[in-house]
Amino acid sequence: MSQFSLTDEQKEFAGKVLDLARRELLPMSYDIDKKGLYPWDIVKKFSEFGLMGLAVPKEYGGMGCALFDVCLAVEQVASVDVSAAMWVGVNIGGLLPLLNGGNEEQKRQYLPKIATGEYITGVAFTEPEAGSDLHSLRTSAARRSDHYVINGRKCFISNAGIAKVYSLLARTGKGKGGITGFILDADAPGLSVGKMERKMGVRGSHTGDLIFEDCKIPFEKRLGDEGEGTGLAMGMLNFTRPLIGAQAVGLAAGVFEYTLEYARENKTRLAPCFEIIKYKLADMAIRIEGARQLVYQTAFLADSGHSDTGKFSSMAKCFATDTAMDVCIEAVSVFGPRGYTSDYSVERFMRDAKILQIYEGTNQIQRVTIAKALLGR
Amino acid sequence: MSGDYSLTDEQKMVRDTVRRMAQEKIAPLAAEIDDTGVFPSVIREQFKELGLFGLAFPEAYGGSEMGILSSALVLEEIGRICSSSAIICAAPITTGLLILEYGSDQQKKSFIPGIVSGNTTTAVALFETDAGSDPERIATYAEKAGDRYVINGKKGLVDLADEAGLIIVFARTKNSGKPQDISAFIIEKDLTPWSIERTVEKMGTTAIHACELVFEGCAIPQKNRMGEEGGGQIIAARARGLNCILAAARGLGIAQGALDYALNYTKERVQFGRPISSFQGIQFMLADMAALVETGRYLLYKACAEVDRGQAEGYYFGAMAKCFISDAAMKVATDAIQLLGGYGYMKDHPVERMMRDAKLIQLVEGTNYTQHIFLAEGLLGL
Ligand SMILES: Cc1cc2nc3c(=O)[nH]c(=O)nc-3n(C[C@H](O)[C@H](O)[C@H](O)COP(=O)(O)OP(=O)(O)OC[C@H]3O[C@@H](n4cnc5c(N)ncnc54)[C@H](O)[C@@H]3O)c2cc1C
Ligand SMILES: Cc1cc2nc3c(=O)[nH]c(=O)nc-3n(C[C@H](O)[C@H](O)[C@H](O)COP(=O)(O)OP(=O)(O)OC[C@H]3O[C@@H](n4cnc5c(N)ncnc54)[C@H](O)[C@@H]3O)c2cc1C
Repeated sequence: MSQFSLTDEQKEFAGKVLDLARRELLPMSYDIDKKGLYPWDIVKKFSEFGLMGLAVPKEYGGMGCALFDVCLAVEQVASVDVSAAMWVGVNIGGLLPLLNGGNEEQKRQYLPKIATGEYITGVAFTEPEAGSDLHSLRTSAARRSDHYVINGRKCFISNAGIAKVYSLLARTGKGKGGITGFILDADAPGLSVGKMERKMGVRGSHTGDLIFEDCKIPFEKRLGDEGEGTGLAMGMLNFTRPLIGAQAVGLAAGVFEYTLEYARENKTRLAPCFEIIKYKLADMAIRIEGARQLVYQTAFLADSGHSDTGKFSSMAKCFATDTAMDVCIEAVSVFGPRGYTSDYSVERFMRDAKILQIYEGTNQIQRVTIAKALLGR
Repeated sequence: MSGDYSLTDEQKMVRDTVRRMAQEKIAPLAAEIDDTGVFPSVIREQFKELGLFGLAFPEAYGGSEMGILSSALVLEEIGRICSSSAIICAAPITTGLLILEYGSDQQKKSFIPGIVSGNTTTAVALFETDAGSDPERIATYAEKAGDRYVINGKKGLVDLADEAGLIIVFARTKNSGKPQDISAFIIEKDLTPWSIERTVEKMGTTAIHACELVFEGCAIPQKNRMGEEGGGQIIAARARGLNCILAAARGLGIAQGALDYALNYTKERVQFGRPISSFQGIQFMLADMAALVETGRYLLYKACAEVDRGQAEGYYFGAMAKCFISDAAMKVATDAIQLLGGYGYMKDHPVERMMRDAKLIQLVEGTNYTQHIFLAEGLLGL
């Protein structure tokens, strides 16, 4: 049942993505981080390659990749720059509710433009009082003759101000069954971008508030029926959690690569501690390889529609992101005092890594989910 | 090994006073200090007013003779709020204590009162970008020329060298490549200025500028050599020892500060209809964090108490405390971000700054790898 090696095609694909990422991002990553850039020209090159439309089916102009290949691509990008891996990853999150819950007309209207990168997408779920507990969201969608009127505030929305279209969850009734999904156009009347966040890391991925003041969304933009929002969110998370795992594996592997190179080149300088460092390198390698296998296995299960996908998604996300955090903290130590400076990129990776343990469900929530699956509800 | 310590009433009073001062005067500025990388002079004035630079110095020099334990208590309190401020307070203490232990009578008389009062700002330059801080590999050279030494070389990552009026520099006085050939020098900026080649950009404690220094034909009078020619190795080791203790105190502050912040936050943040502090998964983390902080605290205070009793093994415990506490601070600060969820990742809350600042302490005064080897050598009698 398991897949233990990549096909030649997959290897070639991953190699091409890595080349692209290195070519475009290596010269820019420092500025992307320091200045919080979202470089449209690089995103355009990503689009031309197909990266912004990885998960869009071929019939809508996308690459039609299965989750496995999506993870493979995201891993490569993250090994160079985590903000850039979020440009790709968030875009996938944003289109999944539409892909899974949209009708044919909605798909035809949006997916081709998403595939070409003309439309960047975002996910508008979280609210100030509804983070881990998504079901407590309050943003209201009141039904009128031919449209809904949305009021409320979303926070921590990636691509805020950049996205042309968001997948929105809002409340049409009480309780879990009262949450509905919508396609939200960035230019919808009554929608504005609020406070933009200043963050420790992934500063090339913009995060901000969306504010809804009697914002109008026509009926045709509702995803599925009223009350189907929770299901759309779960469907997205089953797909995006392994993807975050892939970001983490890429990040960790990228940092590890730099660290190995540094250790090799500075053997004399590091001589007094080199034995310790060898152990640390071995530990990092063990965990990264473990995380990678778990993420690949999970993606494989998800692609084959296995019933354990949810549990595996949480395990992969949790294990890989904890790994990435620990690997980065240790990597900076191997670099020593130099690692603390912006002369090297390990400090940036360390700041970036922390987000992975938080978004797409904190690692505590992943554990709750895993335990539920293990013990039965 | 008598492990006891207890705080005197006086020490408790100093601690409480500084706790209040840090809350009132530093807390409102801490985020801005980090953002701008500029350290406001008002905070240094506060330290001066409270006599914080002189706590561990004899009364004869204007100090209050309360031991290094009292300095550790103070740095912990300041470090809870702002690690950059704690470094500002700590730097002159090391310099002054080195001069007190190894300086000539004249050096003590000319330099210590200014350090104790806080009027003299200082730096210690041991580290070299290529050589590290290992006495065997230091390349900066001090050539004797009559009654002077002429210093040539480069030092890297020297904290506060851009502001300091006085630097202790370690340089080679013989070219045989032995650690015994290192000597220590006191350089006064007014007399022989040094030049700053570059200020290094870094992840945390941004207001403490780490500088690359260049000495080019920097001529200093022989009387500014500290200790014997060739006595630098021992002084460098003492600098490490003292700095380990003070860095541990800063780290303890970060850990305590991050724990306090996360504790309050989890009591107030409600998800799933209850405070998140009511989830056992959160309680487990909080308990672990608190245990690390307390354990580190006792180790550090023990180290300080031993040093204050004149026991050299206090510095050994100090190195242990630096390792343990910096690892603890890193874990506690990282977990504190986690406990705040998305909010923890944002600059609106101090925990992300604390995580960045904590990482430094694992790396300075010998990385924790180096410290582990130093500790093992002590255990094994190597
Ligand atoms: C950079 C960034 C980008 C983001 N992008 C997006 C986006 O594009 N779209 C979007 O909708 N959201 C986005 N988010 C929001 C993110 O998904 C939330 O931050 C996350 O779900 C956590 O919610 P919270 O921040 O409210 O933390 P809280 O839910 O308040 O959690 C606080 C702490 O409590 C713990 N906790 C909560 N419940 C439990 C429990 N039952 N058991 C044990 N522990 C618990 C958590 O693990 C955490 O440690 C983003 C966040 C960040 C930081
Ligand atoms: C932001 C930043 C600021 C810094 N500021 C300064 C500064 O102001 N001045 C400065 O000189 N350096 C500074 N440094 C450098 C730093 O303090 C260390 O020198 C650096 O961490 C190198 O450590 P290392 O592990 O490579 O060991 P080395 O520096 O190579 O040191 C190893 C030597 O130290 C000895 N040693 C180790 N532990 C102890 C101990 N506990 N007691 C006695 N001897 C011991 C060992 O036996 C060995 O001889 C700074 C670094 C950073 C990142």
